Amino acid sequence: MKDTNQNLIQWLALAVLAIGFMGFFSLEIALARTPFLQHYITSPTLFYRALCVHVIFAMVVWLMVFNVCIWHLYLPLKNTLTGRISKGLTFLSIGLFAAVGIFEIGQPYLNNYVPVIDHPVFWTGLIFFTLAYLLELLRFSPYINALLKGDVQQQLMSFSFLLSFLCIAIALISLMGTERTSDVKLFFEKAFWVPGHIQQFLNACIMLLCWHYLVKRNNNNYRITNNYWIKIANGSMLFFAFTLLSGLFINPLSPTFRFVTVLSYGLGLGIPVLIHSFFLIKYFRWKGFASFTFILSLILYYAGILIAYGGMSSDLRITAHYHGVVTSLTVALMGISFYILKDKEILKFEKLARWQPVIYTSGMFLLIIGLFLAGYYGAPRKTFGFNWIFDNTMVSYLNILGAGAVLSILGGVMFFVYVVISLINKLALRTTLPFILCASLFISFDTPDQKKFLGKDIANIEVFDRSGNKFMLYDLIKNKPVILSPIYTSCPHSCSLITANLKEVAEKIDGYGTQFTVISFSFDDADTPKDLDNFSKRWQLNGTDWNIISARKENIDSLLKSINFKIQKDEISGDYAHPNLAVVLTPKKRISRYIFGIFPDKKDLKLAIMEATDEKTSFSFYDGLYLNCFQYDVNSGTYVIDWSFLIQVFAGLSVIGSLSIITIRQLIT
Amino acid sequence: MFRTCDITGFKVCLASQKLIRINAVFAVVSLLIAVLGAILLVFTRWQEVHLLSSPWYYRILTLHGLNALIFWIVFFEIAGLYFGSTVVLNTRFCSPLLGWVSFILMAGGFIMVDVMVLQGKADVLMTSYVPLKAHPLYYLGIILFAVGALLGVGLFFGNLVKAKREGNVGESLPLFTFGLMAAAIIAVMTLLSGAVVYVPTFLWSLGLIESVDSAWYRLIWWGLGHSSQQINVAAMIAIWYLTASLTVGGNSVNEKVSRIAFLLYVLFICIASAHHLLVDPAVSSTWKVWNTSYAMYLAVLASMIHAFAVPATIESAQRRKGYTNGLFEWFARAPWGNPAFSSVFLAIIGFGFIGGITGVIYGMEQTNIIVHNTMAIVGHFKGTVVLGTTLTFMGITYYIIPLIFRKKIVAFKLAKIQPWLFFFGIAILSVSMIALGMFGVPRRHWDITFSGAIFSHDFNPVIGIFWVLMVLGGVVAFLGALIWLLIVVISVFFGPAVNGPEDFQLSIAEPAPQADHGHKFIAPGTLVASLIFMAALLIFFFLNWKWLSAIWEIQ
Repeated sequence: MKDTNQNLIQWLALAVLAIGFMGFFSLEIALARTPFLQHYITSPTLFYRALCVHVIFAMVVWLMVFNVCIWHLYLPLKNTLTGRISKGLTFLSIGLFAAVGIFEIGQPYLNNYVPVIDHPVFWTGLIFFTLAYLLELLRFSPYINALLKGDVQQQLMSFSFLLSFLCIAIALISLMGTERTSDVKLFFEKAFWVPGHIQQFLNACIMLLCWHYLVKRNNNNYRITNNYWIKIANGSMLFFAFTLLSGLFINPLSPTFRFVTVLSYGLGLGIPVLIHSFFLIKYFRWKGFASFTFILSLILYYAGILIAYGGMSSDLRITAHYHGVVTSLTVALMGISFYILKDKEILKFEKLARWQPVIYTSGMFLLIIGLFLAGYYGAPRKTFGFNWIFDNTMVSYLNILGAGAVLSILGGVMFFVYVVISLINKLALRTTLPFILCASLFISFDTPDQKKFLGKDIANIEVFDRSGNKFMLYDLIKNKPVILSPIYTSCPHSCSLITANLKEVAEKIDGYGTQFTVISFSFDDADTPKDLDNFSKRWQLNGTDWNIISARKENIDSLLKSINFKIQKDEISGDYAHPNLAVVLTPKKRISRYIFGIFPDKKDLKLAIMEATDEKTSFSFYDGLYLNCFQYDVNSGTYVIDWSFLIQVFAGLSVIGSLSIITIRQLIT
Repeated sequence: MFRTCDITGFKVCLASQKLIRINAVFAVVSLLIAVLGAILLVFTRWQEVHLLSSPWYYRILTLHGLNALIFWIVFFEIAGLYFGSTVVLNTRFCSPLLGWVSFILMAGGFIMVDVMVLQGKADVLMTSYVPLKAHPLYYLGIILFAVGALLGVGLFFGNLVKAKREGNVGESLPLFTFGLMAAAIIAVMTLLSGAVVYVPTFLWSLGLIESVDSAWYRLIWWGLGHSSQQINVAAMIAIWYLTASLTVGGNSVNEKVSRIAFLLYVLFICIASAHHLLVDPAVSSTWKVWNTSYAMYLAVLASMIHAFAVPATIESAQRRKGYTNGLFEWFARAPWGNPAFSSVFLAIIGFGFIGGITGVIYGMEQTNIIVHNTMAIVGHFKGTVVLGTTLTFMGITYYIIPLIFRKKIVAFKLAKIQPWLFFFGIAILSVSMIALGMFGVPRRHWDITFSGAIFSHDFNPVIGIFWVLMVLGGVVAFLGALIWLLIVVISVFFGPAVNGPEDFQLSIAEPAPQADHGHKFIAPGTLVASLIFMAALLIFFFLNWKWLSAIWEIQ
């Protein structure tokens, strides 16, 4: 019996760790979306990154780890070596995902279901997580035989095993089989589309299992062991999950598949859950906390469903819909966690724990209403900034949303706190210490990318100049050092400043035009030769000492990639978020040095050109760090503290610190 | 000069024992070099780290290839040939002096080649295609090594003759020695090709002859290059039969068929290497088609026979011992605690499912062209040479340490998990390499981002995952290999001596009792496994044709 105890508690601890990170990243997102607070989060990449990692923790890690919890709740297994390995891998993967979220590594792609941050650390996390889940699944696989014979709950269990297998297998096939596109986000969107849909069926299975558990708890009236209707409902759920496999053979983003999806969600999820709900309510009795949590979960679920049937287009109403259906599961899982802890007699703060679901649910309910109203009023989803706010009505909707978010985060934090405090004496963290150390080592090795790109050749691409002439970039550089200044001509602020200041300094340096030249490179593929011409007239760029060029989209991408210059386009305003820097190139077209900021120093620039002439490269760590902590504010014309960077560093240090403290405490006791 | 082994009862010729030991030690040294090179290469190919500079990448690649594919394997095989022709047959070594001459030639060649490569005087990769020119000592080293190995193979035949004369061989050779003989015959053909191709190349590097025709060079070189890997296959399978007998007391379910399969290897496997020359204008289409189809199918037939026969041998022995429940009780109750057994069984699985399936598909002319010169080919031979041969050789070493070196295996608990680590590491590495190749990642390429090139190429975004998998697999496999190397070196040089049967940590199984179930099929579990294998092969076969049709779409 002790073994089971261990499994359940340890998996619960992992799930709680995931929900902790999920909450942390959602705080960042909510701050960025709430007017008056949003200017504390200034970097769009940070927003997208936080959103990606939040979704990973919410949709993948938290839910799937809790799946495993539910399995252990229903079917106690021994604590074997395989089990330990899979727990260790899960822990490690949580650390890796968090690291990707906290530190600026890799490019985030906010596709649906499994958002991707294209970086090896992220992929390692995903591989570890999948491997761990698969190992645990294999341990449960003998119980799959209840598929036909078992009672309602056993049947749901077998379905969850089957759907889990299907999910992983389809994800692999889909990843391998999706055709290459230059649009990376679209690629992952397609690749994770079908397995993501199947995962929703898995989530429904788990939610129904939780509902049955909560209704049955302390309730003598519950008599749904072999209900004929429910078995038909279960069967239909499994059948419609399988119809989704058609997405492997046709384009998953096509209208045909959209029809299949709507059909299978409607008939395979909507109706079966309705049937389950009918019988659950029929046998429902008001018996304390369990029944209460069930009702809360039910309310959130049907709120989400109502929104879906009310019609959605791609705005915040979609977000409202899935927050409803997904958080209904979360509330159910919170109820289950309460009982896991209570049954093991380690529950602390019971009074607080009993109130926690109400606070969380009411927060979520407000959030959903806020999202729905804002969406109905035209607010787009997955967009940073507030360029789409037109009037005060929208602001008030967004403030409902913000209030809901704060309340639900409060509920989430309460859950996190009481579960962590309850668990802390029971956790066997000793085995996980090495993993924590490894993870923190991994995190601390985050060096600036300068180091990787210095001395590398830049890509030789085809470019055009202000007259529309086409030639290769290398031909333009000839055999002199070059200052390459990436800009775009319609930039409302910093690009003009960079050009103006760079020009002022460059002209003062001996050998301007004879021993070195400057090239402004527009990274906006919408810039035409005419735009370039206007820009150079405005700044009096003569075309020989100072040239201005641009290129086609794919060429721009490859040049930017080779100098590690990352840009993010705001789809609404058409503006780019981009770093303010210039690159000094050697005569052999290698990267000699990065010059950061808007006011290049004459001495620095001169030194950089001298070094570049001798084919040297150098690395300015201090400058890099300095410019990370401070950010140029165009409006005030000064450097201001970059809160996002400090938040990241603080978050990283506190995660490592708190994990170490927990572990050390565990080791001492 | 004999000692009688107190564990097996064999008479062990002491001169032979010394030669086996020294060859085995050199095999382990070359594997160490190969493994260190391997991990450097993994972290160079992974562009996120890009560890080595481009000259050192090609240098270490040359070093890794030669040590892993030639030195480790041939040294080990020579040790195996001596073991199979003297100890197993209760015979003295025919000429210990020549044995030492052979060893000195091989060791000299081995050192010469490695020194030349590391000094940067032979950055020509393992194939050393002309007109790439290396230092003359490099070619001389390879020639010396080949001559030494040829002499060793000759001594093996000498031992067989001696055993026959002394009446130690009954009607025919034991199956293990018979398999080794097949390997030895292939070795003679291979090494002769090597001499034919390398002697003129050596003279050319000295400036004594004007030029070496590159088409001629490639044709003859592949007589050495691919065929030398078939020596491995034959020797590996011989060891599979030996292990089946040592660990569960099994003898081949049908010895005659097994022997015929070895004969098929001798006849067909060498000529199945034509896929290296598919785009060479110097050989005719007919020749290419014949070699990459019928010749290869017959060689594959032999492999299929063995891949069925060895597990069936184990299954039938286990069933006769009473593990008859269900299809797979024999499998679950096999001696998994014996690292030699687990190594060999995992090697069979990996060789079949990864190396074998990809080998058949990639060996065909049509499908080869999709993956030619991509990482998929590297993935294929990681599945065969590393997962198959190297893991098998690692496994049998656990018997060699106590029986030949007379030392106990240190850290025996670690030895039990080592095969699993190595198996999973290489399996992940190999499968992800195959996937990378399918997505068009080239092999032998230092920089696949093509930075500074006039063109750029975007790979399928999914390869990021497979690169990570490859590196993870590589690291796990590296750990597995390192553990094995440490166990072997520490046991052999510093381990406690074996003073009698009580110090023997493994076991040698009694022959399984005779069958009492007349008409029942002896190996239903293996049959089911074979059907699964055939299904996997067919799926991979059709997938490849699907991909081929996607490349040249017919409207």
